[in-house]
Order: sequence, then C-alpha cells, then structure tokens
Amino acid sequence: MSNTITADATLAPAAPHTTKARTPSFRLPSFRWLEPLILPLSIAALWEGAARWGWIDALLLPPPSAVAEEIAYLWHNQDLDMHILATVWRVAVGFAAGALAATLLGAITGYAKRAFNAIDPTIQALRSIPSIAWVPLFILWFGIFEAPKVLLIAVGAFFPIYLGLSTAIHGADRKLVEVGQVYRLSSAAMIWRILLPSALPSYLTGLRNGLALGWMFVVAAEFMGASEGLGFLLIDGQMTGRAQTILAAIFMFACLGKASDWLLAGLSRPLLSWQDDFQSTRKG
Amino acid sequence: MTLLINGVSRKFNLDKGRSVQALKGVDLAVPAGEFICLLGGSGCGKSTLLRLIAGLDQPTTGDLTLDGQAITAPRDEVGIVFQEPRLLPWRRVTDNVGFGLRGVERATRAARIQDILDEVGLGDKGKYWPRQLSGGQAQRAAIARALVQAPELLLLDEPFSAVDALTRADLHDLLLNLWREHEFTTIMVTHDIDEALALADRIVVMGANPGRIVGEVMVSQKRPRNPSTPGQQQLRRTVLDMLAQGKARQNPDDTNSGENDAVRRVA
Repeated sequence: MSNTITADATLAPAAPHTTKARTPSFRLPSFRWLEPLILPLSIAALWEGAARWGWIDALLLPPPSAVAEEIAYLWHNQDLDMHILATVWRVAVGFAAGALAATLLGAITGYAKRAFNAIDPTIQALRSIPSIAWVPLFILWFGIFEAPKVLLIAVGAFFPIYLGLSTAIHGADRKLVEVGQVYRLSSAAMIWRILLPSALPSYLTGLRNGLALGWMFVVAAEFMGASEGLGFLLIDGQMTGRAQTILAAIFMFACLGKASDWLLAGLSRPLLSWQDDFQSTRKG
Repeated sequence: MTLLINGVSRKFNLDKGRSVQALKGVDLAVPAGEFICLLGGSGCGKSTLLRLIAGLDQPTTGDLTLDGQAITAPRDEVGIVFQEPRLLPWRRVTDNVGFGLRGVERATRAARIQDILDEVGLGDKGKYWPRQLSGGQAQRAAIARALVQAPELLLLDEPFSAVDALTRADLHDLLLNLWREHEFTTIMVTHDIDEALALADRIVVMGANPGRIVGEVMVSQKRPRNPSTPGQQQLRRTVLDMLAQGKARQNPDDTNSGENDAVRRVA
C-alpha cells in the first residue's frame, strides 16, 4: 500500500493538471461473482412476496422462508445430515461402479473393432430399455436394501459414460494414431498415450452426464422403499402433506447436484488446459 | 544407411473389385548421406512410396531393404516428418519431442530433448502447449521429434507445403544445416520444383497412373543455390519436361475422378 502512495505522490507534481481526469486509484470491488446469483435470488424474492401477499397458496407452495425454516427443523430434529449422507453415499458408490465399468468397456470397444462388433450392439439394445424398468427385477434379485439402489444408479450412469468414451475413441485423429504407429506403441500404450487423451474432453462430458443421471436415479431408487435419504424425505413429505419438506429435499438435491458437478468440472479442468477451443480463449 | 528399393508395386483394392495401381515397378538406390527429393504431382504415389520406406505400409510386390534388412515395420533409425506437425495437443512441446524416446535415462533424456530443441530454434519453447506455437514453430518441433533419436534416415512428406514462403525459406536453411551436422540420409517428398532444386542432391521425378519413376536429375551446384544461374534454369526445364512426360502417359481409363480421389486419400 505505502508503495502506491509514494508513487502517486511523486507523480502528482509532475502532472498537476491531469490529476482530475485520472481514474481514481481505488477500484470498486468486483461483483462479477454475483452475476449467476441474480436470477435465482430475484425469483426467490418474487416468490416470497407472492406468498406473503396471498397471491399463491402458501400451503401448496410454501415461500423460501418456510422452506429455510423446514431445512433448519429437519437438520435439528430429523437427522437431515443422515438423509444427505445416505443419498450421497448411494450416488457415489453407484456412480463409481458405473463409471468404472463404462470406462473399461468403452476403452475396449473404442479400440478393438472386433470387441466393438461383439459387444456394442448388445449394449445399445440394453440402453434402449428405460433404466427404471429394471427396478422390479433388481428388487426381486437383491431385496429392497442397498444393492438394488446402487445398481440402478450404476446402470443409469453407465450409458452416457460408455457412449462418450467409445464414440470419442472412434473419432480420434487417424493422423495422431499414425504417429503412435511410427513409434511402435503397443495396444495398451496406444490406448493410454493417444486414444484416451484425445477422447478425454468427451469422456469428461460423459462423466458429468453420468453423474447427473446418477442423481436422477437415486430418487427413483429411494422411492422404492427406503427409510432414509432425500428421496425418502420426498415421499415422506407427500404422505404427510408437507409441501415444505418436499421443497426442502428438492433444494438439497439442487445444491448437492450442483456441488458435485462443480467438483467434477473443477477436477477435470487442469486435465484440459491444453485444449485450443473457444472456451479456453474467451475472457469474462 | 543404404536404402534399396527393388521392383516395388503397391496396389490398393477399392470397393466392388476395382483397384488402383499407386506404384508400379519402382527401383531406387539411396546411398548413405544423400539428400533426395521425390518430386511429382498428386496421385503419382510419392507419399505411398515414403510410407513404404517408413514401414507404415507394405508393398504388394517387390522389396525394400535398409542395409540389407527388409523393412517390415517402423524403426528408430528412421525418423519421419509429416505434412502436418502432428504434435499431440495434450503434451507440452518437450514431451512431444521426447515422445518416441525410449530406454533413455531421465537426465540424458531431458538433455537430448533440450539439445535438439536448441538446434531447431525452439530452446525456450519447451514448456509451451502445441496450440501456442505458430505453424512454422510446430513443424520445427515435429522435426525435433523425428531427430531426437538420432535417425540415420529422415523421411519428410511435403513438410513445408503449409507454411508461408518466408518461413519456408527459414525451414529450408534449418533442414540443410541439420542434414550437414548430423549426416543422416534424407528423402523428402515435394510437389514444389523450386524446393527440390534448392535442396536435393538428386531429384527423382515421378509420374502418375500408374505411380512410377519417370527420371532422375542430379543437382550439383553448391548450396546455398542461386535459382537463376543458367545451369539451374536448364535443370528446371529438364525436370519440367519429365513431369510433363509423367502426365502424358496417363491412361484415360484410369482417370475417372472417383479413382483419383481414392488415390489421394490413401496416398
């Protein structure tokens, strides 16, 4: 700070007439980080007002303040943290299992044409089955506890990741593959050093889509007889006619989904710093 | 390293039983240290021939040998530079240059990479991403990658056709200096007659349909060469005649556009 002041002091006499025209040496703090919050906060304010002034039925659509109260209540009296943990754990395990299987199969079918011909049509056929349709079968096989829930999430996360990786490897630049041939890379080295890196952007997009589907299917999974979890809170709110419980659970889903996606995007960014694309050259 | 090419033909099978004779009856001997330019228009098989020498493709008939050994696959003694730099965009310049360097200790490896980067004039660009390089710099990096394992034979496939004239002149000087310094044999494919006249010891002129060698020209003038001397002008006319001859023998049956496209794609 003191440096700035001396610098200003020595400059001032040299250019006394320009002092007024100069921009102030202090800057308004930047509020750019608020930009994404403007829209949701405005909606919340409007919603709150509408409920206060009686434009909407606060019982069916409780205002944000009531939802906030409900969250606090659930936290203190209903073990909200336990529900969150249960749901997060299911998504994490299911997503990890689905992603692992999808990565292995995607890499193999992407690289080996014969494996692709043998496996891919079956996977595509399975993909066209709505994942929820598996639920009764999973329950029949594994009971109603954790296994079928995690499995459903894994199935949901599998397809976008598999498809993203397999397609991206097929689309890898033939000319770069030829560079690998010049240096006589083994199959494994070709996959690891050329095909996977070139498929990485699309693979990471697949991971994010898979994670989003994981959050979608955890709700379906928890609808089938859970005693804990945010999906259970949804059902519980419906049974007891408490709209604010449902909205509180929805709000928690929004926060967790956004946070996990943000985490995944943040973890993948350093892996993609080499990219020469529109996003990486854009300012602001 | 002596390269011998003996009666080499390469036929590409297209769909519906059609095929294209990309190369027919090619004989060529390249003694160690010579700088050769393969010159010809599109579809004359010059890139196909280079790929055969690189071991990236196998001839239909005939054989290619390096110091008596048949070429069956790419090898460390043969470096190759493509028309595009083909750097891996997710690796920094240093790692791209060291990509094929195997079985070398870490310290030696770093030193060799830095040495070759200095030689091609990219000494301070090692930490850059490929996207941060200009076209000429990227091609320099590609040359460094080919030379880092000290090849005895360097193959170049129209390496300077995508850069502007000034950069091309710089890259010509660079290549000649590296060639003199390291004494590798050089085979460069080009369609630019003046480039061939400026660089090569010997110009091998190729013709199309089928791809073949139509003639050879020795260029004896000392480098740097002056293209306007009567000798160079005379050579230029000779080469132009050979190129015309390569076109004249075209068989009209083979020139339908579909086949020519196919040749270009595989060549």
